[in-house]
Amino acid sequence: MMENGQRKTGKRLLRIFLLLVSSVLVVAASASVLNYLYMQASPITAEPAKVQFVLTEDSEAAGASIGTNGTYVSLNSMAGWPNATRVYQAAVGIRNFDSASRNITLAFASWSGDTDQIEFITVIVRDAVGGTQQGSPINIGTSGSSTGELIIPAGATWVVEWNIKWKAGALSTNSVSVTLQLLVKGE
Amino acid sequence: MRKKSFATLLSFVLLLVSLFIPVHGYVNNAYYCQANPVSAEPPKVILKEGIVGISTIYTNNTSAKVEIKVVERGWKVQSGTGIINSGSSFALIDIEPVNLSKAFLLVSFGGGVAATQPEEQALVSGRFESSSQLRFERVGTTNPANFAWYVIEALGEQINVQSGTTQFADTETQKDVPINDVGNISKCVVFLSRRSTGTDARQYNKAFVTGELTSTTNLRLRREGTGTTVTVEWFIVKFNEETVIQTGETVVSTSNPTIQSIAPVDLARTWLYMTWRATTNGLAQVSVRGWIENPTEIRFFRRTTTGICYVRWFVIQMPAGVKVQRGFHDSTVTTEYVKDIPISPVNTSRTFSFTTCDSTGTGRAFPRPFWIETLTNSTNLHLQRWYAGQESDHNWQVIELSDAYEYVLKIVNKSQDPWKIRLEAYNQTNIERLHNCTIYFYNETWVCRQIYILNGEYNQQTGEWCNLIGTNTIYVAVKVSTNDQGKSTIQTYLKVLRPNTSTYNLMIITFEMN
Repeated sequence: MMENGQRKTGKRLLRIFLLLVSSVLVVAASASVLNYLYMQASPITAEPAKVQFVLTEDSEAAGASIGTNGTYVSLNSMAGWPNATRVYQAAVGIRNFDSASRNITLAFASWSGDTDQIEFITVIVRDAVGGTQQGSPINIGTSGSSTGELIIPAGATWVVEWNIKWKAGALSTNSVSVTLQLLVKGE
Repeated sequence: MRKKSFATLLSFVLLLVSLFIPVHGYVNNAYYCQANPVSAEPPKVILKEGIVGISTIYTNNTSAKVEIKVVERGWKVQSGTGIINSGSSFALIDIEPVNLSKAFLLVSFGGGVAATQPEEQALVSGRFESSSQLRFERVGTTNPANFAWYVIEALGEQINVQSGTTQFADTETQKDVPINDVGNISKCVVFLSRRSTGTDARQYNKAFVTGELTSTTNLRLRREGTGTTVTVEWFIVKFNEETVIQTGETVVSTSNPTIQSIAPVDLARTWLYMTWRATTNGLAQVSVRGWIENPTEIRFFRRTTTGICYVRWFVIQMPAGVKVQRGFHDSTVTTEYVKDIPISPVNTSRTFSFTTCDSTGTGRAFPRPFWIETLTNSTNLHLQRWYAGQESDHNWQVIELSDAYEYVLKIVNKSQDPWKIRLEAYNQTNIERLHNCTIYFYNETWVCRQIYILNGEYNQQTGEWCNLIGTNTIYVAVKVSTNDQGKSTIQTYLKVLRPNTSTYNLMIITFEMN
């Protein structure tokens, strides 16, 4: 009888122990151990852009206006005669001010307006006015169209040529807006 | 069990290796280029139809097609001076053979001695003795008689010529001469020369003859007064559709100048030919000069109001490309025998002249008002007489013919902006058959070659820059000869450059030569 009571007590103790162990395990599993590390960026400086848009031969004709720091350009007076191709051989330039070459990509981003009246707009990057074409021509209106990645040598100025042809039936009230993106790789 | 351990080990190794592969992060800077607006604007330089060939102008006048049917359209002018010697009534002059149905003759004469010569000595007529010989003739044989001549021959279909000899009996003042049907008299000009039997210089006026077509089959020759026999050598020249002719008869009497209105003409390619008859004898009385005063007016002038001259005039607007120089030249010195008039350079192988003059004096000191005319070189018109003593003022014209398809197209500046333009050939078909082909620009003062093909190959594919300033117009011309039949096409860009920039417009012009 006595042995029977001891056996029951032992079982109870075992159950309590297992319960305690389980509790510990549960607590251990749900608790987070956080280690705090710190990243300090200082200084984050504004530095001159290594590659910039610059004015060239046809910038005035194209109505080019370079934004502060040369990272934006607005061309606000480009036009074309219906059924004739207007070529701005150097609407704007891209200059590498760095002492090392840079990888750049000029790409079509978006357009809007009377796009159905456009026969074509093609943008070509050349190493000089009327010079060697760099990369592929950009077909405005074609998603993803770009020059491909180009390597502009240190100190070089390339020109961006615009070829614009309106359809024969275009009216003087027709216009489009075009946005290109220039990606300059690296710091 | 061993397999399981190997797999575990391999996984571990792979994990380690992957940790050493660098992860490429990119730093990109995005710039933007915004073109807004890119607009369509009315063209400031446009193309317009020509008057030769078939030109098609497309929407907005920014592209065009020119079709040319290639035929021979050249001219050949032979010229010279000669003399009928004392004792002779004629002179023969050999020329290079001509097609008599495509050639006519202009004659001027000037006497031969420094003294009065009667009609029979001084008046010289001319005709074709054969296709390779000219016959110049007078009635008398005393003293020499000088003359000058131009043989003007179309190498293509620009003209058709009938010619003949008609004599006025001493009692006749009018002759009606049957001719082959010309079809359209408004395309015809009557060129004359004559000789006379007059022996006393009192009847010069009776030797002045006019010629006109009264129908498609009748030539009417007229003079004022009878008493001499006058023989007329006539050429009826029918021009093709590219030439526009006006004709009429104007009375020149007491008004000096006498003004005659005409329909507007292009002065650059129009010349005046005239014959006249005179009612009164005398140097001033029979000497009338005429000129084109402006595009809508011709004028006549004598140094007297005595008598009447009936002037039969022909205002001949030649095809585009013909260049006419004209001027007025005073001879205020009575002793002059020679006048040399500087002209702009011409190609003498396709150039002739036609000059009229007045004269002072009312007597019979003929042939003082009669001058020969000839081009002694490319820049000089030479007038000469053999009996001085009166003044003569001259209205001269130098007509340079063209063998090109001039004015197939014109380029018009619609703005005040200055442009530079040129042609660039960018594509072609079957140019191998083109023996000689030139496409060029021209205006009133210059010519600028743009594209040149020789023996089927490009000799020049891009033209020189030409200025298109103000609201000017530049004309496009083509000169072409082929080796064989077929069709050739030359596709070109008309490049319109804004000066001081590298911005230009490309307008497509296609030349098609059949």
